[in-house]
Parts: sequence; structure tokens; C-alpha cells
Amino acid sequence: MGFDLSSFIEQLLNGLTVGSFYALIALGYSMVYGVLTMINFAHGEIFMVGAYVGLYTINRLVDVGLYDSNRILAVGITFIAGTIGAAITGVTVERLAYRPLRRAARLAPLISAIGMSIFLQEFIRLLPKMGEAITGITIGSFTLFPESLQQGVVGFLEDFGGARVKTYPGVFGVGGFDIGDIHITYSRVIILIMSVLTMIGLYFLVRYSRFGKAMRAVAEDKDIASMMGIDIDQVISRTFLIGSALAGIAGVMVGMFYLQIRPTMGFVPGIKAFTAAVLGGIGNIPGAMLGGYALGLGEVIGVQFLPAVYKDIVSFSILVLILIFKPTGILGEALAEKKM
Amino acid sequence: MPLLEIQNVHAYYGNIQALKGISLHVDQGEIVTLIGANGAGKTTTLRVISCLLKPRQGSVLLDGQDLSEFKAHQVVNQGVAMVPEGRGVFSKLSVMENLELGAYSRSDKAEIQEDLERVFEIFPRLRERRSQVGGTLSGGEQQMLSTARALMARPSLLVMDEPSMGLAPVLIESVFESLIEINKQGTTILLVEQNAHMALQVATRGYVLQTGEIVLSDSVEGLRKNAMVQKAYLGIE
Repeated sequence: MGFDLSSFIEQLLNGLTVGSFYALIALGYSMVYGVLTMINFAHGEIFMVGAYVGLYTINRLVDVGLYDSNRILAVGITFIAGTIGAAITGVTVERLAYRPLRRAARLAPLISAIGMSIFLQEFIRLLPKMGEAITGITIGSFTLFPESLQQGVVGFLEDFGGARVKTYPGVFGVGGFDIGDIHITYSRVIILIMSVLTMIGLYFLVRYSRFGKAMRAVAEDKDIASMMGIDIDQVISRTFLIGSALAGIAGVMVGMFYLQIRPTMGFVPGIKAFTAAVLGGIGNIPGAMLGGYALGLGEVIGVQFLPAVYKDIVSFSILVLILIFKPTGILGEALAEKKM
Repeated sequence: MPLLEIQNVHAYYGNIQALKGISLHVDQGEIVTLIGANGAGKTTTLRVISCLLKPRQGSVLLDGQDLSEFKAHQVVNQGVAMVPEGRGVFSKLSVMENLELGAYSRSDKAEIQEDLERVFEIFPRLRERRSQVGGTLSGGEQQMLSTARALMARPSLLVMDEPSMGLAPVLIESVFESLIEINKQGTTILLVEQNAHMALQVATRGYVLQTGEIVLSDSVEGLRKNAMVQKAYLGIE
């Protein structure tokens, strides 16, 4: 196996693309950990829901013809829909599954998060079956849905979710440009630029906005933040909103890039993004971005020397090694002292 | 009508009773001190005032209004600002950001700017260090920041929890001098202290808290002459 420069550079680009996904998802883990000292294990599923809402939206835009007449607008609407879908899911999960456990032992919200993760996966997987079950409900001679509506409800739920793999239309195509003998697809460039712009936006939001300051204050000390007049519940809710929105953007991107989506698609990227967040220093926002790209690049460099199927082993070896030798991550500081 | 009135407050941590029916009041313009040893219930009293701990019985009135209707983050809007125990400076935020958060509940930009100038006048050191992060300040500077941050809320009542803790005597003196200055500018102060020496010099009246009960209430002159206070808090045999 000789060293091939152009394929190595292609791999690096691949690493940056995958790193963008990891970084966007990792930010949600890290922001939530920052304010709640809790790992939101349902975060990968929020990313998955973003991909599904995006898929449903883009298919409808194909149906009405907007996708063919104005593709940029259609893609834009798809991103917005996926982002909003994921954000609503994240905020709802926090409200229903985590807030009631705010004062409970630390293990309780963690278990609740794992429960939400399974719930969301199964919810999307079983949507069509639910449609049949709900529309079939009869109470005496009264049916919950009139016959004319039944078809529509079942059809909607089948279009939205289900156990089978669903496929995005090929938005990006395979177009691209060449530098020497390296082919760079537009899709990679677009994903990289969009991710970086999103993260710059987030950085400024956290650094300079009123919400950003309040969020950092809540992350440091909730009691004192509330003495300043900061509504802790509101800040936590908005943190979930923003973290989930970022996961939703990543979900739509992944759908458009890899085309196929399935209800279990959130699990591995979720765990990898968690690895990225730990690698960068959990609770640290620039750390999550850095960790995402470091992990993406680490994977592609790893598979230069190992068969490609060992990619996941590389990531999780990195996770284990950090946890043993530098549990605070690259940019993290000792968090344990006062967060308890 | 007193500015702050605490009436027969009983407070618990789980099943442990921390306050056993305390009553006290602070009038407009006063500096009142609440002295007591470790574990007497001083910080608990302040947690009740800041609505971080709901009393099981009794009430806290501010200007005649019951504070129990409010959530913790709404208290500052009612005019009570806290200088918490151990300063509570946000160590990863800059001095400026800490001060801005002090004015978080306000929207009057021009007046916030005025107050910023005012606190920089009282604590010129903070102006020099405004872009530094809170964690890099010395203990005395953190105490200044915590006090200045509370003033940024433009409170009618400033509540301070052991501002002298962990400070060198010369710094303690300057903390208390700034307290007198702040009070002269029109802010009422409730000063909770273990350092009875200093507290009894700046305050007008005082209460002594022991194991969750107010055991003594008098003018500071009266307290200084009291044999029990002399023995337990001033180290005079």
C-alpha cells in the first residue's frame, strides 16, 4: 500500500466534512453539559429527527415543483424546517424529561435521557403503524377519524417516518471542481462553509449577546445567576433550543450528503460527537468545534494505516485514551470542583 | 413602614430546621447588621430573602409586599441585590460582563451607563481591570466587583453576606469604608457578618443570631456594651 498524496488530500477533505457533522452535534452536548452538568443522550436522536423533518419537507417541495423551479430556495426551506423540527424536539424533551428531574440525583436525568433516546427512535420507526392504530380506533359506532381523513393521516405518517431506509433527493449532485488530480465536490465545500459560518454565528452569540452572557453565568453558578435576575429555566430551555437547532442543521446536511436516513442513524454520530465534545473539553464551546474536526481528521488519518472498517475503533480508542489520560479534554479545565 | 421586614420565619433543609422563627426589620436608609457564628443561620436567612429557599412558615416583606410571591430571579427586580458569600464573582466572565449581568434585569441603557460610571468612581480599580476575567482578580478586587455588580441593579436594599471573609485587615477596612459611602448615596444595607468588630462600627443597629434564633437586638452601642456580645463576638473577657 503505497502513499498516494492526492487520495490523502481527498481523505483530509472527507475528514473535514465528517468533522463538521461531529462539531455541529458536539456543540449541543457541550452547551447542555455546560448549563446542566448532564449528558443529553437523546441528542443523537434530535439530530435524527432533524433529518426526518428535512426529508419530509424536501419531498413535499419536490411534489409542489418548487424543488425543480428554485432549488436554492427549496434547500433553504428544508434546512429551516429541519432546524425548527429538531429545536422543538429538543425543547420538548428538556421540558418533559429533564426539568422535572432537575433536583433529583445525577443518575436520574441520565437514565431519562437514554429513555428519550429510545423513545424518539421508536417513535419515528413506528409512525406508520401508529397511523393505522389511531385511525382504526372506534368507540361504538364513532370513529376517531372520518374515512376521508384516515387515508391522509396514514399517508402523512408513512411519508414522515417508518422502519425502512428513506432517501433524500440528490440535492448536491456529484458536481465539483478539480485541483490537479484532486476532485473536490461542491457538496463538501458547501457543508464546510455552512458549518463554519454557523459556528462563527454561535461563537458571537455566546460571546456578545445578552443570552450568551446569561448562559455562561448559569453554567458557572445557577444560584448567583438567578440573583442577577436571570431566569434559569428560560436560559436552559434556550440552550436546548440552540443546541438542538445545530443538530437539526447537521441532520439535514447528513441526509443531503449521504442520501439515506433511518431511525437508528443518530446513534453512532451521537456517540462520536459526544467523543468529540469530550476530546475538546466538555462544556467548552470552542472545544466542541475543535474536538469535532480533530475527531473527523483523526478518523481519516487512522484509516490511512488501518482498514476503513476500523474507523469506529479509532474514534472510540481516542475516547478511551482521553478519558484515561486527559479527562478534561484539549481546552477543558477542571470542572469537577464546584459543579456538584 | 420598614423597607425589609422578616416576620417569624421558619426554614428547613429537608428535616433540619435552620431558622426557628426569626423576625427582624431594616428601615429605609439604615445599615443593619446581623451577626452570628458559623452555622447560626445567617446565610439561610439570606437564602430566604433571595427566594432561593422558601420558608415553611412566616413571611418576608419588602416595602410591605410579600416576597414569597416571587421566584428567585424576580427578587432583584423588586429592589434587593445580593453580594453573596464568597463573593460569587463569575470567574470566567470579564469584569465588564460581571457588571453588565448585575444590570441584567434593567433596560434603561442611559442610566445603566451612569451607574457604571458611579461604581467605577467608588472602585477605580475595577475600571483598570474591566477586561480581565473575574477569576484572575485578587480577593479584595473580587469583593469590590461583587459589590459593584450588586449596585448595578440600582437596589433599594443591598444585602451583603460576610464581605470581610478571607480579606486582609487593611482590605476589610476599605470594604467597610465603601459600604458607608454607598449608604450615604442612599442605599439601605443589611450586613451579615462574623466579623462583629467591623460590623458594629459601620452599622446603626444589629441583631445577634444563634442557632437559628435572634437572641439579641439593639443599637450598636448597646451591643458593644453587652457582656454576651463582648465575650462571644468581640473576644473581650
